[in-house]
Amino acid sequence: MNATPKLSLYEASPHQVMGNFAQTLLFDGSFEGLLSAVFTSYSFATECKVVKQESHIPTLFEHSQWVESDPAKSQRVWEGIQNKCGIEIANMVHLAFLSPKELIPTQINQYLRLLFAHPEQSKNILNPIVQSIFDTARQVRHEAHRFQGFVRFRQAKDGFLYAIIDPECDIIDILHPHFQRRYPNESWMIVDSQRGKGVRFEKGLLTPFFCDPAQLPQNDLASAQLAAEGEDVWVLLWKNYYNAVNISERKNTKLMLRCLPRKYWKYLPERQG
Amino acid sequence: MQHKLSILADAAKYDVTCSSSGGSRNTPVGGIGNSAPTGICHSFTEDGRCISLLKLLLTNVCLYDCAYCRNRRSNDIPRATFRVDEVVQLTLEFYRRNWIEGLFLSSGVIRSPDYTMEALMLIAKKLRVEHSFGGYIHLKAIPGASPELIALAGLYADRLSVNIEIPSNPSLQLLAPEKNYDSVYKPMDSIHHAITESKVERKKSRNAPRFAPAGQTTQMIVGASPESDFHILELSSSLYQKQEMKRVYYSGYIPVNTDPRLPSITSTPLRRENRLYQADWLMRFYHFSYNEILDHKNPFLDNDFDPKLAWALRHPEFFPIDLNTADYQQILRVPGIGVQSAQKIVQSRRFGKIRSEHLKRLGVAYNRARYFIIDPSQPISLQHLYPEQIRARLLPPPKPMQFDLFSQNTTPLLLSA
Repeated sequence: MNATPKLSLYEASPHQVMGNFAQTLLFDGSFEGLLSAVFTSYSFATECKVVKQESHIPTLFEHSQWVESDPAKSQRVWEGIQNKCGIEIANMVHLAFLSPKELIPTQINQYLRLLFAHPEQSKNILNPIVQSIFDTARQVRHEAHRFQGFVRFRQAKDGFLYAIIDPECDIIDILHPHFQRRYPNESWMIVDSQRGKGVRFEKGLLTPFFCDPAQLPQNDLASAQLAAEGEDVWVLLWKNYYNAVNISERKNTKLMLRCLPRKYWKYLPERQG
Repeated sequence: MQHKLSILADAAKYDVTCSSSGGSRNTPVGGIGNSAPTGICHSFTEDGRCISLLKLLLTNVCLYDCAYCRNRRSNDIPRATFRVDEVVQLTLEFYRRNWIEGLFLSSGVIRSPDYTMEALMLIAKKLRVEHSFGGYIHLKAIPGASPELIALAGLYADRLSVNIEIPSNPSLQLLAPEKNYDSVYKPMDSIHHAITESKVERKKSRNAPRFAPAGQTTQMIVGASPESDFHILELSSSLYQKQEMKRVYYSGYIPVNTDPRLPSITSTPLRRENRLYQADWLMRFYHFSYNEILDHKNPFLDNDFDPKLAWALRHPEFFPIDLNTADYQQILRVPGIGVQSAQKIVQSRRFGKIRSEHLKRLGVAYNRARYFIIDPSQPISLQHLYPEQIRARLLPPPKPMQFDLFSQNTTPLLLSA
């Protein structure tokens, strides 16, 4: 056993959480790249920091190393997680990865190291590492659920239903199955305005696509320009409905902002002006 | 249509028994829409309430003259009536743009309860049959409508409801002379009967028709009549047990009409409504019975404390409990620990001892829970307190009174005769 005192498993040592890292591993930002970095970090005795290449700012005494995204390695890690702890934990790790927080790749790396060493600890939320992954996954899931309601389609000139969203987390991939089930016979597309990521659904076929975020409408007013003739009639009906349903004697702005924070107002027609 | 929509959505806004959860429906082949069991909120109004359905009255013309209702016969307000195809079109166009989960349709009584109920039923039928609509539909059952029409309505709707409106029969008859508990309970019981029968039939055969799969709900106005909270909770409890209601909604009385039969209050009893919802949650999720929360000696819910805390302060013999050894039911009773925190405690305590630093991370309201659990890290002075001492510590801090030196409206200390 090591000379260092053995801490109980449900409490992480301060080193693990604060960061006494051997190396910094840089990856390309994809989930495959992250799993490849996890694979590489396994060869180091102590923990590694894992950072996306694009958001990396090198510090003075840091050793950084680029990890190429390797499908074989990442597949091994992915299957390893499933074999040790099941598909639910694997999906949860994927969900946590969609969060924009900078520490997430490092935390996922820490969690996976813990998971491979002690699979039974994977659900122990008394451990701060496990809890941070659970919490992040919950936040991502929660935002995706909210956006099931906040996606607002408009009919475009060519008959397509289009919607633009501005989420904090990268939720397009977990959002579209809901709309596939709900609108199987329509043609629609949803685009993430910050990441330029979108999905397009037509005649039962779903195709992801990428576009330049700078060319996308940055608010609801601009988004309305792309709509078909007569579309503003329906939007006006919706705005009228929204105002009519409000009970002014029960005004509670704090509650409304808690449920519908301002960051989501950009593409909601009823909250403009 | 803009004009009609403004009037009829505004007229429908006081009916809060409107949630999109509970229904689970798959998209019909070639059709549009499904129903998510959890419900989805599409937007929120400035009063903080969720908009998930297109909530409309088919018409705000009404034969009845209920004192508490804005749409009563004797009020002089603009009236409008939708055509069946207008409601269908609105629902479909809003739905395909993902602005709503479905339709919530109520109505004033026009010509007769049966005539109105048939119109509501036809709209639901058109959506389901002609347009293959798979979204959520909630229909109000009109008191006095024939059971056959209600039976048809349940085949197309996800949820049906009849509003009980006032918590006691004498008060209801005073405020709404055309209604009484008989006319309200009859449709409620027939819906309940039809739901139960359909469940039995579906166990025998998958092809048996579903009847209102999301169940039945109801709503009562709080503060328009003198009943105590104890009476209201007793009534809710019986509705949950006998009629197997999915939910009972409480709506704080908003003074829309001036009427000698109604109390002359200026503000809605929002705090009381909030406490009633908390008590309702205790009955449904925390296995409290209504006579544990309140009794004849304490017929009103405490204003300063939530009902669970009030119960804990009245029953110090149950506390403190040890979170590491107590069972789930006991942990649920601790103020500040909700259902999710209790489940997390039970699941994670097999990994190690639960200590106070873990509780905050698990989502427990530690400031309340600390007085009711065994916690060695607390100073001795805070362990084993009497309820009066705990009460004093948990009261919200009094708002400081600001006397304005230069204020124009000074109230005289002595009122002259």
